[in-house]
Amino acid sequence: MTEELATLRVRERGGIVIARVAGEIDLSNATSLQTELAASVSNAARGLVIDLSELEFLDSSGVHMLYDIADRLATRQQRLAVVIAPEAPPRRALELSGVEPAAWLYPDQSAALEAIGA
Amino acid sequence: MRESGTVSAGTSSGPSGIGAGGGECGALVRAHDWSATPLGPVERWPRPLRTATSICLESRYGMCVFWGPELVAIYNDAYVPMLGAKHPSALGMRLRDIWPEIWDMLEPMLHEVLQTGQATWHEDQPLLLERSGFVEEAYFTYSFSPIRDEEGAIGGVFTAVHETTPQVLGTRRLQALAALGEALTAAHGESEVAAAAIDALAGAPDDVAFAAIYLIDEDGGARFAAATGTEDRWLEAAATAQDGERALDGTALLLPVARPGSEVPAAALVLGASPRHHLDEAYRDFFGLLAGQLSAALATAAGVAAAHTRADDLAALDRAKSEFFSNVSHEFRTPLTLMLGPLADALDDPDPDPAAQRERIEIAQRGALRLLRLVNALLDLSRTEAGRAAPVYAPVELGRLARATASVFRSAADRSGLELVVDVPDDGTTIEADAAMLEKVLLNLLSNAYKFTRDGRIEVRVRVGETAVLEVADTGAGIPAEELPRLFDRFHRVTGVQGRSHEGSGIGLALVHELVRLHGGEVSVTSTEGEGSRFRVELPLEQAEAGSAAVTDHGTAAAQRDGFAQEAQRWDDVERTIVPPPADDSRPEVLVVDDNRDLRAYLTRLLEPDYVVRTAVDGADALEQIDERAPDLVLTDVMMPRVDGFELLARLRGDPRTRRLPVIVLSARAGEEATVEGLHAGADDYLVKPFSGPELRARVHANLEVTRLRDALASGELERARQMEDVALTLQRSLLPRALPDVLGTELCGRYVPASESLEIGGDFYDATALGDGRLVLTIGDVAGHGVLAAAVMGQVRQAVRAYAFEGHPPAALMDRLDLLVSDSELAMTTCLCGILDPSSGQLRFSNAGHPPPLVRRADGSVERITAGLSHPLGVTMAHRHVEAQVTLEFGEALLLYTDGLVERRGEIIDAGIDRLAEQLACDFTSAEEACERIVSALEDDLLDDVALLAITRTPMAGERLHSVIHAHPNRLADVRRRLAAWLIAHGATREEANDIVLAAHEAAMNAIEHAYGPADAEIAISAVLRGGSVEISIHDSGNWREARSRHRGRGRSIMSALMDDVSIDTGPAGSTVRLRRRLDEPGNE
Repeated sequence: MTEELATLRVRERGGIVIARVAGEIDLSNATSLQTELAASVSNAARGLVIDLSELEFLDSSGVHMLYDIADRLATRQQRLAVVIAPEAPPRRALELSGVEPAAWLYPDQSAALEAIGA
Repeated sequence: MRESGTVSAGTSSGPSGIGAGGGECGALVRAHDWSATPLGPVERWPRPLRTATSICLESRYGMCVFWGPELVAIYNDAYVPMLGAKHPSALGMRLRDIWPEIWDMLEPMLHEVLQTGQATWHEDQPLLLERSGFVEEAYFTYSFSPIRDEEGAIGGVFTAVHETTPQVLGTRRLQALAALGEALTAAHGESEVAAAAIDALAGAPDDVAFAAIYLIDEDGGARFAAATGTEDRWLEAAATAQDGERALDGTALLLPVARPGSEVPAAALVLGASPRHHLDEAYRDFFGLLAGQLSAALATAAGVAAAHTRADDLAALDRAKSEFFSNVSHEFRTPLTLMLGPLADALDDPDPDPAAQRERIEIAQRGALRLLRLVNALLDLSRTEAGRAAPVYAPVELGRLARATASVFRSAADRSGLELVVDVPDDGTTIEADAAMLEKVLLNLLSNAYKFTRDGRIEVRVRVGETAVLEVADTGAGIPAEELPRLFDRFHRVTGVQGRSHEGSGIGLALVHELVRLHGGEVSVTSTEGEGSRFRVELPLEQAEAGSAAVTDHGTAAAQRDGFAQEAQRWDDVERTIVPPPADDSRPEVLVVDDNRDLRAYLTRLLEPDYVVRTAVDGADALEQIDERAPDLVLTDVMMPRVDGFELLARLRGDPRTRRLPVIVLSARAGEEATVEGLHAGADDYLVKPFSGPELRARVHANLEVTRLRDALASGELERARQMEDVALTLQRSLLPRALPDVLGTELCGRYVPASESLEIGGDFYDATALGDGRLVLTIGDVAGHGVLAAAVMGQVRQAVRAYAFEGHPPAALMDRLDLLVSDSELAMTTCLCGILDPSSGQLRFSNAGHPPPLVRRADGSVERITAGLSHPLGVTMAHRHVEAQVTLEFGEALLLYTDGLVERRGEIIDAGIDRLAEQLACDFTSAEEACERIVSALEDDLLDDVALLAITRTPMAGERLHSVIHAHPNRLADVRRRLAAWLIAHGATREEANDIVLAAHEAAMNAIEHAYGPADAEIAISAVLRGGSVEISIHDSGNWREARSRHRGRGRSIMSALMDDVSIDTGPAGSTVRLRRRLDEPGNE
C-alpha cells in the first residue's frame, strides 16, 4: 500500500492540543505516530486530546502507544483525554487488552474537552 | 542564607529533626555533621528545608534538594546511581563542586529558577559526566523547581531527576541498525556490501568509534575489505574469527559474521566501542545485531552472485522451453481439432449416415495416432535424457536394418517421384548396438529427409570400417548455415524452410542426437541451402559395457514404423489444384487453405452446407487460385510450406484487387510475435485451434455479412445500406458474445441496449473470453459513429483484442497494438478498456484508452471510481503510449464496465451521470445479473446513445480457503486485514464478527512478523478456512514463539483469547503456528 494508513491533524486551542487520527493504527505506524503526537505537545501545553472518532482499526501496539503517551504526559503533569465512540471497532482492542479501564477514555470530543478543563 | 528565628520545631521527629527511614541516604543525612556546612546544624534548619529533605529521602524517585545560595546538596538513594563514584562524598557538597564538569550548563538553569521562581523541564538532556572514572555520555530527564522559605522567598531548588541513558542509546542504536539495513539492501556483491556497511557505520560515530570488515573465503582466508576510523591492522585477528567473538586491544571487539550453513564465517567485523559508554550487555547485543545484518546481506550477495552464474544457462533453457511449448501447442492442437471436431459432429448428427459416420471416426483416429506419435516421441526423448533408457546391446546387422527401415518410405517416395537409393553392404557385418534405438535414429532421419525433399533423391549409405558410418543424404531444401549449430538442440525447429509439411515438434533430431550419444557415437550434418543435406552418424563397433537384459518391445516398434509410414503418406506433394468453374448457385465461395489433408476435408465438410468450398494445399497454391478467381472469403492455416498464412495475407492485402477480401486465420501457435504481426497484415478474424464447428460457421457467416455491408457503403449505395440496418443490428448482436464464459470464482453479466431515437446501431460492444489458464479477458469499447461501419470496426477491434490477449500481451501492450490497428486501417476513433482478471487473486490489470472510468463496488458497500490506467483513445494520435493499472477485487466485490451512453443525459455533465451510476451500484445486490438488470431498468426511455455494460462479481468458491504468504514486514498487515475481512464477509460472517476475527488474526500475524525478524526475505503464511460453521485461521512463521515479554505482546495474546473460541500455539524447529478458531453465528440470527 502506498497511501498512508493513518492521517494526523493537529490544532491547539487555549493550551489544549487536539489531535485527530483517522484511518488505522497498527504495528507499522504506531511508533512514528507516537513520535508525531509527542512532538505536537509543547512544554507549555496543558493537555492533549487524542480524537480517534474516525479511527477504523487499532491493535495492541496502538493500545501500547496510548498507554505510553499517558505515562509520558503524566510525568510532565499534562492531561490526556482519548476519544473513542462506545461502538467503534477500535474500542475492542482497548477493552480486551487485559489492563484496567483507562481513566482517560471519553465517548466524544466535548466530554473529553470538558474533562480536561478546556 | 536566611536563618529562621524559630528553633523549637522538629524535635519530636528525632534528634536531627529529619524523619527516620530514607534508606542509606537517610542514615547518612542524619549522621552528617551539618554544622560544618553552610546549612548549619539540622536543629536550626528552616522548616521548608526540613520538609523538603524528608520528602526527598522518602521518595523512591531520584531527588535532590539544593539549599541556600551555595546550593548545598542533599539527595536520596534513588539518586545515588547517577552520582556513581561521587557518592557518598557528594552529600553536603556544593552543587558546583559535585558537578564541576557540567556546572557551566547547570548554572544558568538554576539561576533562572532562583530568580524567577519558574520551574524548568528538561527532557533527555545529554550530559557528559565523570562519575565512573571516565567521561561518560549520559541522558537525564529532570525538572528544577523552587523551594520557598517561610518568608516566601526562594531558599533552594528541588530536583526530580530520572536517567534516560538506556532509552536514548537504545533508540539511537535502533536507528543505526535501520540505517545499516537500508544501506545494505542497495548493495550487490560482497565488496559492495562491505563498503556500504562501513559507510553506514561511519554515520554512527557515537556508538561505533571505528569499524573494519575483513571478508573471509570458504577456506578461511581473510582479506581486508573496508574500514572507518581505523586502518587495516586487524588482519591477524580477523583470520581467527572462527574462534568466536572476543575483545581485542583497548575498546575493539572482534565479531565473526556468520555464513549460513557453514562453520567458516563470511567475514570478520572489528568494532570500536565508544569510550563514553560502558561496553555492557546492551552494547554487545547491539554489536551482535550489526554483525547479524551484515551476515544476512553477505549471504544474499553470495546467493545473487551464484544465481548470476546460472542465469545464462537458465535463460537459455527457458527460451528452449517456451519454444517447445509453443511448438507442442501447435502440434497438439491440429490433431486435437481433427479429433474433437468430427467426434462432436458424429455425436450431434441426429440421423447419421453410416458412411459419413465412419469417415468422421477415421479422421479422429488418424488425429489420435498423430497425437500418440507426438507423445511417444516426447516420452522417448525425456526417458533418454533422464538416462532411464538403457540400451540393450546385441549384434546388429546395420546394413540389413537400414534396408528394412528405408523400405518403410518406399511407397511414399514412389508416389512423389523421389528416387530412394539404399547403398549398404550385404556381407553380414554386425556391430554391437541397440537395434530398436538405431531404427528410431534411421526413421527420424529418413522422415526428415522425405519431408524436405520435393525432387531428386534420398540416399541411405552404410560403411563399416574401424567405425560404423551411417549416412542419410537428400537433395532437398537444405538448412541455412546459421541454423546448423542448434539443429540437434531439444525443441529447436528450423523455420522458414520449404518442406512437404510443416508438421514436426523439434524433437526428432534431438532424439537422434541423444540415442547416438548413448551408443558412444556422434551425429553431424553438412548442408547447402537449396541443394540438400547429409546427416552422418558414426558409431563404435563394440560397446564397453554389456547391455542389460531388457526385452525390446517389438509391438511398439512395429506401430512406430507404421506411424512414420502413414504420416509420410498423408503429406501432400505440392501440385496446382485445378480451380473449378464457378458453381451455378448463389452461395458464397470460401477458399480453405491448409497443408493437412484431414483438416482440409474436415473444414470442407463443415462449410459445404452453406458455401461453395474450394481448397488449396498451401499459400502459394492459394495465391495462384485466387489470381484466377477470387473467392468471397479465405480461411487459412498459419504454418504451411512454401507460402505460409501470413505471407498469403500480406500478399492479398498488398494487391488492390484482393485488399478487401475477408481472411480468417486459423492458428494453433500461442505466444508468438509473428502471429500478432499477421493480424497487422490485416486478418479480419482469428480462430484458435481447437475450435468447434458451430463457432467456425458463425465466424465465417459474420465476416461475410460485415464485408457485404462495408461494400454496400463503399459503393455509395446508402439506401441499400440503410435498408440493411436491421440486418446490421442483428449483426451487432451476433458480434456481442452470445454466452459469457463461466469461469470459477466469477460471475459475469453483459447487456446491450440500442439508442431509442434512431434505428441506427452504435459501435458499443463488450466481450469476455476465458484464457486457457483460468484468467478472463474483459473488454468494453465504443466506436465513434453509428451504423454498419461502426459495427464492422467493432467486430474487428473485438477480434483483435481476443487475438492479442491469447498471444499473451499485457493490457498496455495490447492497447498499443490495437491502436496501431485502428490508426493503420482508417478505422474510426474508438475508446476501449481492456483488462485481464485473475479470479484466484482478484487482480485485474487493465489499460483504459479514453473510456469512461470503471466502477468498483467494495465489500463495505462503497463504490470507487477507477481513474488509473487512463490514456488517449485509439486512432487519434501516433503516440501509441498506453498505460496500465491494477485493481484488486475481493470476494463479493463487483466491477462495472460501461459505455458513455449509460451516463450521458441531456443538459448534464458526464460526472453527474457517473455519480448516479455509482449510487445505483452502491445498493445491495446479490449477483452481477441483478446489478445489470437494475441499471438497465433505470435507464431513461429516450436513450441518446446506445449502451453496453459488463458487470463482474468475484464470488468465493464453496469451501474455498484463503491463503496468503506475505513478506514479514509490519506494512503488509493492513493488506492482510483487508483480504481477511472481505473473505469473512463473503463467507457469511457479520461485520462485528469480521472485525473481531480480523483483530485476533492481526495480533497473531503481528507476533509472527516479530518472530520472523531477521533475514530480509522472511515470510509468514496466513490461511483461513470455513469448516463446520467455524472459521479456522492459521498463522505460520519460521521464527520461534516467544512468551509475552513486552507490554503489547501480552495484550495481543489476551486479545486473541478474548475474541476467539480457541487459540493454540505450536512451536517447533520449523517455526511457530498460531491456530485460531471461532464459530460463526448461524446466518439469519443477526
